[in-house]
Amino acid sequence: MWAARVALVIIALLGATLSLTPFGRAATRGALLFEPLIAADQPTYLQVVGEPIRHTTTTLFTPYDTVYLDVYEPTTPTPPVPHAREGIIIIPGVGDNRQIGQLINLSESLARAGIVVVDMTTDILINFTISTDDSEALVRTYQWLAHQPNVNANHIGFLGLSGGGDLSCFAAVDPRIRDSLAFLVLFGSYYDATDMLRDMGRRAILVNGHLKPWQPIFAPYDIPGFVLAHAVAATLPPDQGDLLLNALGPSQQLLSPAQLAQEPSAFRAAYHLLIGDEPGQADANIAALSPAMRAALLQLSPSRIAAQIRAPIYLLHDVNDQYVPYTESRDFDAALTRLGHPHQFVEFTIFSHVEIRPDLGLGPLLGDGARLYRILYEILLPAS
Amino acid sequence: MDMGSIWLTALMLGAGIVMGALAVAARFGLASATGMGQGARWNGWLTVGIGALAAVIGGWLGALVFGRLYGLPTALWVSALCATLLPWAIVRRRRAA
Repeated sequence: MWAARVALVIIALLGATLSLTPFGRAATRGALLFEPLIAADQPTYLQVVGEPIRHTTTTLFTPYDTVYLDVYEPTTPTPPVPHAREGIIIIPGVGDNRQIGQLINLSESLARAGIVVVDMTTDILINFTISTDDSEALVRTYQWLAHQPNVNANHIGFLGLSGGGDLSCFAAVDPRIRDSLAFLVLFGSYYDATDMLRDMGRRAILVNGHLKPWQPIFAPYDIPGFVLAHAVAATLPPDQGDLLLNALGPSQQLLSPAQLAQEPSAFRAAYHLLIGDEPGQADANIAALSPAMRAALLQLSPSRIAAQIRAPIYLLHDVNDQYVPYTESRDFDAALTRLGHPHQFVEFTIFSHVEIRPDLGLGPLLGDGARLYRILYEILLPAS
Repeated sequence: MDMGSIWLTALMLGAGIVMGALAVAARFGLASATGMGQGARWNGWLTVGIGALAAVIGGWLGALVFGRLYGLPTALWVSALCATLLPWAIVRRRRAA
């Protein structure tokens, strides 16, 4: 009899806490979203207890670019509590990632949890280029989402994956949205493009004062190198820019020593840094970059505008990331700590760049899962 | 009604039955007022029924007010409350009469 009474009281209190209190509702959402995040597919229970959803596409235009939006949203009316829905704009990095299964799964799962999700990309991003001009695309997307009748404009945040994280930093300092942006989640993003180029050049990262070997991804080709090559190539005459892009891009047309000798010294320095064939000369090659190249790299670095960001920042990075060194997020974390900016930094081992690894054991899943859940809870709390 | 809603209703119903059964086991239900025997058995089933019905109604109200994700947690506490308080109120009324 007493056991039944205790069980009854505990279950009733648990049910009331999870449904009646904001922290309980955020915990419920986080718990239900947890498996889809780490298992990379949508469990049946989420389809049962979650909201029915719809997927639509729309296009926006900026003076610089065409913006493609994939919108995932609940089809049910907005519940009276908490009155309006949270919005998350996902910027899934460079290239066209809109059809990647894990991104669709993440977007659908968040929508089933009652969030309006917008996956955003642009022609510039699809072309493996990060441009500060594209921050206009993010601002327009934010404004578009804020004007949706069921969305609370103060509960919209950016989830930037890889290079998408850097772009969201540039948009986050735009005066039109700076004060209302709810949060910034940067997953596998760089902090300083010049530092990242140095790491690529020396094929090593600086961890706690010691150099540790680091090899950027090379299959199907060096995508992070290709992205940085776009930034550098924009400062070069078109023929030199094409040489650089062809060396780093899918065709991987490396230059012979004779061809390279004909190019200017700044070009050679950038080439060696990107190819990584002179690891001992990385600092000298950084110094040999042209002022225009250095300015372009600085322009594309969140380090330039970190102090102007007002939204809380969540930095996530896998320590085995082969696209962007995890030390970039460590540097960002250190800078935000110095600035006294509200932020959290979490290092993982269960991701391959920004995608969940398929070969995981229970141990890493539990350890990283708890850290992931904490971030998830904090992001979901304000709109619960 | 879509398949998801049917399954959710079934889950709420199951939760309500469990809460009703717990109320009976905790002697909070109608059975506690009528002692042992056939009457107590029927009153026990009635408590379970109250729990199940309260879970479905409360669960869908919860889904309406807080969002569908919170239907099941709402079903739990509403059915627990109803399966304990309603029998208590009924017994009180019977005794007063």
